[in-house]
Amino acid sequence: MTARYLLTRVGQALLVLACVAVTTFALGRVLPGDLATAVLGQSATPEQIAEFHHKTGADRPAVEQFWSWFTGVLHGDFGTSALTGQRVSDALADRAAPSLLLVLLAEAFALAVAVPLAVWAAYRQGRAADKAANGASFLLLATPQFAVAVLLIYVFAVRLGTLPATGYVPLDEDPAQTFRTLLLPAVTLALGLAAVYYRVLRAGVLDTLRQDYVLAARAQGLTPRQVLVSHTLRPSLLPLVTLVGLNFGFLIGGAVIVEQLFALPGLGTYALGAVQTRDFAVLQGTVLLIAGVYVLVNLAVDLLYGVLDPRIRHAR
Amino acid sequence: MNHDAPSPSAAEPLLNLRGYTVHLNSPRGTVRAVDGVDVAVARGRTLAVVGESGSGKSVLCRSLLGLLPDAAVALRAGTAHFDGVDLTALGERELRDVRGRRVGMVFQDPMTALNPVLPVWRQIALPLKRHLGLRGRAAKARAVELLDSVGIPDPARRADQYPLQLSGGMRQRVMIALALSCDPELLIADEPTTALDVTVQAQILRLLDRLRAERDMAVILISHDLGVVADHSDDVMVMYAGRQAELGPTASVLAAPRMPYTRALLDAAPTLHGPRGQHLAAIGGQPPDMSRLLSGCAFADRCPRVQDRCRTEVPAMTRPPGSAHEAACWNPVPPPRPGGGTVTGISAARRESSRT
Repeated sequence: MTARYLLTRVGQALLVLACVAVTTFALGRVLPGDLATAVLGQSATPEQIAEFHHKTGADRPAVEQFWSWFTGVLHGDFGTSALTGQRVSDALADRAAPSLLLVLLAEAFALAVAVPLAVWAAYRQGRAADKAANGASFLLLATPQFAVAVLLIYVFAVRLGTLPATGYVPLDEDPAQTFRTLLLPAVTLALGLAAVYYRVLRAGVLDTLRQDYVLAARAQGLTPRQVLVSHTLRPSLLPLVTLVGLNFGFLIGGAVIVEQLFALPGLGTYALGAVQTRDFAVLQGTVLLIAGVYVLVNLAVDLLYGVLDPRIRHAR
Repeated sequence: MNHDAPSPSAAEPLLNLRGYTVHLNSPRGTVRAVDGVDVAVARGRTLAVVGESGSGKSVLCRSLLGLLPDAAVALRAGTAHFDGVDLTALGERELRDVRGRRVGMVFQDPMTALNPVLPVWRQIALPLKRHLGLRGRAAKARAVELLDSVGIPDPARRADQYPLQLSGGMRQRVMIALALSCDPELLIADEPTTALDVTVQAQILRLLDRLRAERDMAVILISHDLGVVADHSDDVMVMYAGRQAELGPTASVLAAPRMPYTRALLDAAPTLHGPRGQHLAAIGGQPPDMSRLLSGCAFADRCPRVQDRCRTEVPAMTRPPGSAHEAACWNPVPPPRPGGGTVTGISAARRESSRT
């Protein structure tokens, strides 16, 4: 885990982001459809469209457009939405918060349920507790997200009335209310995640429990808790850590269904709208931000590997 | 080796097995892994358990401490008195207080028996916390002391390292420190040197001898190396197919084996003093299918001295006329003429190899 290794990884991350920037930009140019028709309507005259293109810079050469956008990004300016006129950086700042909070909460809930359950089920392999947990995880995996969401809304918002069904209150207005509005969508996401995490970790723990050092730990008279927590959990965590990292990156922009169902103003919904209207400044900015989070999280995951397993640390 | 110590029959044995039997479940039916073993070990003495793979040595030791999975054990019978308490009557919780605290265990392969993701001292600190209530600095200080006592140089630095940073011999020393961390009265060493280089083997065995003497500990040394047994045990039990074949003082068993299986094991062991180019005598045939109920002696099919009776009646452990130890055989090997003994050949060879 040297500084040199860290530097290499950061360099790789920046290279990935540069590639993402070029690709999204290019993708926007080759897609059929025109923002002008979306803004001005189907009845717009060719003159009106040409004027719109000139105003938004769409008539300049692609390389020039890319360069002016890219230098802007380096200064924190992602351009403005041609559709709404809003600065993209402001919109991203507003929408990143609910997305990040949603994913953080969902991951936290999922791990809080899946980790203890997986360790316990693996320890009691084949017994009633294990069978019940396995059945529950299959049920959750097979249930579509929207069904879970609708059920949760029905129980907690409609019948009990304890939690809001839709909407979002920003963190700086009322943190408690932010948490309440995020609770149901986070639980919806978490249930699906927990089922996957449970299965992956349970398999890892079962594998570790077969190791000689676990038998040796039992031969030392350690309690089941010591054997499981001190000896078994850490060597079993690597596949789970990978998966948590991948899901984190994916859900930042990919939780569209949940964002839509609970009317959360998140990044996924924002990007989806931009694709539909060909609002390229918005699309490019959102994709770049999501890619940035993805790269950052996976860099953290790689570093965490070394912390969890000295064999990886010393192999580097 | 402890020649002035009282004989095991005179001292009160620390561990005393009577009719100890373990049957295991296998896909092919019940396996008689350990079948009616009678043996005792006293404090300060070493009992070697010898036999080929699958003869029941490891099952015997692991089942004593309840380390076999519940689902694997089909039947456990007989008694195993440890300091007056029958281990077979104890539940999991009570056994947990015996494991590590009163009986330590060293495993064959220190590469796999140490946790790769925990620093050495943390692994030792866990049983210290569990059995002695030591935590934090006190636990770490004690771990460093233990590493020092098993001959690890620069123990304070080594304590913070991971197993992969240590050599094989050093890992086995860590394993021994771990097994001895709570001052057990009995140490079970399951082929402790099989995975190590020959020169390191000798060091580890000498370390075990020293620790046994210092702590007046009883030791069960599982091995398939007769040279190791000759030099590092007081008594030896030879096992074949889960049954006892021969039991008694090591010198007597190795010098004058009565059971043909023991004889064959000795003939299969290399010595430095045999004529050059001499072929080692392999034992013909295979061990019996242990899921079958054997009507006679388990070794009958491979035995050069087999008689009709051997196939129909199980021989009991008895002391053949003129022998200093017991054997289970209907047609024992006659005692050797005075003067010629295999044991001298083996231990001389071993001493020579450990000197180099």
